[in-house]
Amino acid sequence: MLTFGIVVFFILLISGVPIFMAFALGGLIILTLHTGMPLYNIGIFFFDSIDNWIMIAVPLFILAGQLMAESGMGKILVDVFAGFFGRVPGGIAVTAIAASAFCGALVGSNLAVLGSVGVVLFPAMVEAKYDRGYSAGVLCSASQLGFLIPPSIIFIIYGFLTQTSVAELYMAGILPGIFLAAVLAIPAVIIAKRKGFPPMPRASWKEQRIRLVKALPAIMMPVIVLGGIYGGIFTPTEAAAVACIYTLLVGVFVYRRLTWKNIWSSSIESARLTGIILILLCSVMLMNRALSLIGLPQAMGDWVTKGGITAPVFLVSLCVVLLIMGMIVDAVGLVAIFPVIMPAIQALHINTIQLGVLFVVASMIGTMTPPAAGALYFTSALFKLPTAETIRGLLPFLAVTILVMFIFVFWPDISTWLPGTMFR
Amino acid sequence: MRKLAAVSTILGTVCRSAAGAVMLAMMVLVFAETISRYVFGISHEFVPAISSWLMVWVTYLMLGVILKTREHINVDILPTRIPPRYRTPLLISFDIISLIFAGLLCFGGIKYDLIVKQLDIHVVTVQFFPVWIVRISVPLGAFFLAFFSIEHLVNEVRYLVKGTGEES
Repeated sequence: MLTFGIVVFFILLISGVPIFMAFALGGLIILTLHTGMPLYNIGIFFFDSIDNWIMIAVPLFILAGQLMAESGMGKILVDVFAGFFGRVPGGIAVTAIAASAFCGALVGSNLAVLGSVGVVLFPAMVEAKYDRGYSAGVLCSASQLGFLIPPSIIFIIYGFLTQTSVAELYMAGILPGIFLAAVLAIPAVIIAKRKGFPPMPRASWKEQRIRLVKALPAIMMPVIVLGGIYGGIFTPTEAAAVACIYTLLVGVFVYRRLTWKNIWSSSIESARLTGIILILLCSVMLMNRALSLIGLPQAMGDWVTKGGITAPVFLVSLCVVLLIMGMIVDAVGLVAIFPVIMPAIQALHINTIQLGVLFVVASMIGTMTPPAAGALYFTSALFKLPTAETIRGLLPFLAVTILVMFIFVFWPDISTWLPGTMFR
Repeated sequence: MRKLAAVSTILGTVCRSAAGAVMLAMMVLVFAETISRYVFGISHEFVPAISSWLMVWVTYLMLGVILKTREHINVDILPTRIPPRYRTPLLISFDIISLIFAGLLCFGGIKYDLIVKQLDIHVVTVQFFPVWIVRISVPLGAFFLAFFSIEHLVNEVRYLVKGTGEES
């Protein structure tokens, strides 16, 4: 019965049926044939799985990200970071990395970061005679930092499925996010120096001060959101609602870019993304319930313990599996693996916070590695480049990101130190 | 065919607009509760339940619409690489699977909703609102999914048989 359910799942998955249907139908077959559960229980699963207060942070952070992208905060932040980093070799590329990292803290979504920062900087890079593939590669890889730097939507979903504190996960993402941003700047500068890409024109102190003042409302957003969460003022869900209203007010009254029309379109776009993510989550939970009832996670835990597998070996293998899976499924589909391997993780005493960071980095890489590479295709489409050219430009940054993921395996403190200190 | 397309457009617009409005309502509700709790020290027990119900409604209102535009996440290696003449039969098989899934979800949703209605179940924190009305979102979403699957199916069968219309 188990084999039949799993076979159906894989056939549906590979044939191209929406992943949520593959999970749901596979899980339902296992549950019905193995445990005798009535079919109509799907009605209960598909409501109860997402009827959850914590999960409301997902649609609200998506909405905040959409509103931010529409309010023009991306351009304002780019100007500020250009003043700080524009003078180094390949200054626009380094500015792109820094601005993307910061925008990640506002938006929590990689595509929104790409849309707001990339749209501003790609034409500037082309105008400054930067290689187009290189420019697209820098922007694509840097925009993925939005996954890692809080408030990250993927962290909420991971936390929900693995019963890990979202606030701790958010804290855990900060140092790895900054580290990855710094490491991404290394190939950006080296390539720029070798190819002679020029720095940006110098901005005077006065000019920079004006830019900073203008950007202050945008800079305050992560302070309010993260400060509110860690100051114990509000939960991540409430923080998401505050982020929405704050962006709305700043966008309407300060930057004057938000109109009723783009508030409405942001809301509908957020509803669309919410629908895609949450229905997938329902079906992932159904499949996990099925696998739990037949004892697969426990069997896996036993197998790992008896097989004498060590935590680093397990983590390296898991990273490789995630990298391969990331080539064919989206980050939300990738998270499905965790409830199944949780007993093995507990048996090996692996920190779920460190694991969350590794998972998010693997998801970042997954969105850039074909054939299923949403961010890569989005970048190519956004900048009207052939995918092959974007891939060529992306390769050095992809290699660096993969290297950093393995560094995080053997350097858990970078992920666990900050939450350990804050939540002690 | 034209009637089906017109109904589909109207239904799509209604679902999208309703989901957008529910989304904004959810944002306002959660924000108002945050302010109320933090500024006035008053907490309303019903807010977490109602806002998560709104989120469920957003999900099911969009379920069919996302299928209509084929934007649900999938592994698209096979559909994009097979020769065009096999593509339409493959899409037809997807639509049949979608219909089966929608049928199961609709059946499960209605069956469970009827039980909830018969037992007159209420959530402790939201006594004033019957849960069956909230839970109707699941069969309703399944109905939308079925409708848009049928629309795709009709389009693709026409394309396959007559070579007219559009492969959706």
